[in-house]
Amino acid sequence: MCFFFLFKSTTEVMKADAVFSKKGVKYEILPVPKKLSSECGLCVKACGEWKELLNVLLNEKVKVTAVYDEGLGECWKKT
Amino acid sequence: MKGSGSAGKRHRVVYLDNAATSFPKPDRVWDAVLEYARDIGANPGRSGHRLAVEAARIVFGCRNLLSRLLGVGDPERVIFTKNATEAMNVLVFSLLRNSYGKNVVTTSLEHNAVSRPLRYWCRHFKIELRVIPCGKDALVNPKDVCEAVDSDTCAVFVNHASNVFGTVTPFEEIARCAARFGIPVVLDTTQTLGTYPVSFSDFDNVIPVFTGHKGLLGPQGTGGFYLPEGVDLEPFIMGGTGSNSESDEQPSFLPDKFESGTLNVHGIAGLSAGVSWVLEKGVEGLRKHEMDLFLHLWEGLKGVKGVVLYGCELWERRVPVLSFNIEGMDPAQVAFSLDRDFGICCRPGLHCAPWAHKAVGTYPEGTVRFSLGAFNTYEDVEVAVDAVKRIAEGM
Repeated sequence: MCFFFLFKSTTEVMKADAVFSKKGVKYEILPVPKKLSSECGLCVKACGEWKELLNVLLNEKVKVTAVYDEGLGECWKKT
Repeated sequence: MKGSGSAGKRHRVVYLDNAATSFPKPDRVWDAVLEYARDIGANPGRSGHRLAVEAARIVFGCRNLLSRLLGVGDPERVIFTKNATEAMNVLVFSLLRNSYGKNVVTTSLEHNAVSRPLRYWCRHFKIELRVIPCGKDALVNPKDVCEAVDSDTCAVFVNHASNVFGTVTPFEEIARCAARFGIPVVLDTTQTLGTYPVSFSDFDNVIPVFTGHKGLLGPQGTGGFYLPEGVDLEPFIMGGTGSNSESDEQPSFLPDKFESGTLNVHGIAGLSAGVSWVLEKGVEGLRKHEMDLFLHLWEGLKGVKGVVLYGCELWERRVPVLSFNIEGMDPAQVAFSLDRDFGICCRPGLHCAPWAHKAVGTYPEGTVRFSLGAFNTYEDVEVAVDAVKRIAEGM
């Protein structure tokens, strides 16, 4: 399964880029799908277990705002 | 230091004006600028295509390198501006705007990038401007600055090293005394970052302002500041950031809050290469090289009859910027002769810092300034000493 990871800014997307690249995660950077609302125009689509991927980012202090599945169902949202 | 910077291909010169801008730069700086311009070229943070992502990686990479150099952990707190002057204007306005009737503390070693916006906004907001004088040796006593700080102080502005006399003001003591009142200290590192070891990890009230084109060896048109977690400010310039596009409110998060409009990615690509070069060589190593040359220059000029040298001889409180005069000669005339007759590039006059010249007693004529950089050599110093000697002797 692949998931959309949303962020506030391009800088946070770049942080996620560096972290996933270092950890060997399969991911892509792409424009945020129209159906989702994000403060930043870019998001990261990564494949794997979303909770694990989210923890990888949060442990590296990347500020993730939300995670959605490919059917665009909400998995997690920062409160 | 040899090996990775090529210069003087068009003009055979001895370049001693590194305090104005460093020259030459490492070759990799221009390679990075060209690679971005020719092969990438896109706008970071706007579109989502591969070239825009590549451009965003360049900008983020530069933030990362700068945060390493500053000894801090948050790359998103590194804010880019077009130069240190713009960063200073942002900070002066943001820190003074809600401080009507209070006071601001600064030193007489400040550059006009600080003194002019401070003078203007202090008058506008009826803020008392407390300028702490340096001694004739161009040293500021941090205790004097601390004594001027009180609970009505809205900010302290300190030049880490004078661009005229090369004297260093230790900011740590000032930062600690300002922290007792919860006051931010804006530190002008234009003459120190990249050539003088610093770390800001222990200070959450110090805002270092940097330029990209001096000790960091990047292109002109680059600069910025680091905003620590302990300081919250309002932006001065607002506009498009590529984020929160549905809202007409400026984003509240960093770095977008302070970075409206398209960044100078060409410059930032080059700056990233410059900072990587500095990190590889090591700031301590670069300082040793430059201070060895500086001491050679100081001793050489000290022996020339009629030459007056300015600033203290406490070498740990110096960066390789040397101001001098030849008795009875106009500094502008000396600099012109150095250029025309000896191919030496340097800067005479007031160096955009009239307060500093007034404090040391070299106003209004100013001084001749030699400023050394990473690519200067002993031979450059010897050419300079010999040239000054010949000018002082009437050629």
